[in-house]
Amino acid sequence: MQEENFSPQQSLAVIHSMIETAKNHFSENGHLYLLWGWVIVISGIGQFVLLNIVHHNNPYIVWLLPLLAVIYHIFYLTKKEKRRKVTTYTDRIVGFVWLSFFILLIVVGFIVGFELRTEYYKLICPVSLALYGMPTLLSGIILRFKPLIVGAIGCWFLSVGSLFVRYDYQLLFLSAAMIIAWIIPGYLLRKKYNSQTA
Amino acid sequence: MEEENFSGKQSLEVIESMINKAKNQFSENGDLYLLWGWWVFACSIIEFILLNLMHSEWHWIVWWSVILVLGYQFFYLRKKIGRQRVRTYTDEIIGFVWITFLILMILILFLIGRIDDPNKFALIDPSFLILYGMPTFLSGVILKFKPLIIGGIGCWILSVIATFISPQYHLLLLPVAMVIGWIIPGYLLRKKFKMQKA
Repeated sequence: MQEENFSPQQSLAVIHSMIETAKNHFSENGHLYLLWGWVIVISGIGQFVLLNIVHHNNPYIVWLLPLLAVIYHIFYLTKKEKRRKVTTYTDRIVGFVWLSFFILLIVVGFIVGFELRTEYYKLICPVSLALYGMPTLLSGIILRFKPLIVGAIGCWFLSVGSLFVRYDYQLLFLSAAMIIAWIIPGYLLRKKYNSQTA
Repeated sequence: MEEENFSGKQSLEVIESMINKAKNQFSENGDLYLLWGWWVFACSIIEFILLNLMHSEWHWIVWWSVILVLGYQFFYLRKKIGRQRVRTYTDEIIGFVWITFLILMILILFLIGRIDDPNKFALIDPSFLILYGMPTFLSGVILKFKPLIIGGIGCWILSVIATFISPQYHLLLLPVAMVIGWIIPGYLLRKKFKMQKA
């Protein structure tokens, strides 16, 4: 910005452009959407295959993959935090949206496992799908990025749909949700981010 | 704003002050927090009395009064939106946070209703407590209003506590959640709103 005379209109234009920049220049490159999207797709399909095709004794073993992803996630964020020059208001809110999602997922998992006697496993996928919609929709609204909004609504439809299928098929609903809510928007975010930095 | 020479630094100050103004001049007067807070507070206590003291089969009927509250809110919002000159970005995000909350409430209630677990009713109040925390916490973050953040975290803690007490008493946790999550912050928002107008 140069030192120059600013009329109110010009000041407003500066404000407007800064807001636009802050809005569009989101530090969102889609990386974590893709990481988690693919991790859950692989885990969901992996468990389905181990359960129905391989008839493995312990099909849940695939869920060790997300644990590895958590470690990578922490390293990635630490590195990104160091490089980051400014945290915008939008970045901050989106961060808290994901934090609430994480808390909701843990607490809901805890109470479903704790309160239900026989059918807790039937509720895990549908409830997770319902919760996936939350940060996806809100990030879509905050970043004004439609693919995320569409993905979120898709998660909610899949959540209702998954109640009408057998438990093991619910895993495929989970994978489908990841593709529409995180993977496709993730690639589109990456494309937008790359074209912006190009 | 007067026409004057603006340096880059001054422009940034103007931008900052505008953002602060937009942020603090939130159209949030706490009315709806108080409306819903007191409504849930009253209904949960009445239901507790009907269920445990009067042993009525119709204990849940009290919640149908939601129709009256929704009717009131509809007219209230219509009037408010009519008066409102600008809808800020913050207002819009908060609006969507509450829409997401409503969708999750309906969805989770539907999901719990569909399963056959004998203990499923024990899941309803703890789930509501978790969900109450979400919009409360996020509104607090977005408005930078600490009482809501504390209230949201309080709701989450209460939902975990709920799993350790008999489902019979879950209904008594709802009024506690309302006091810390919506009623106290609601009065503080009202106070802040009035001070800002004065």
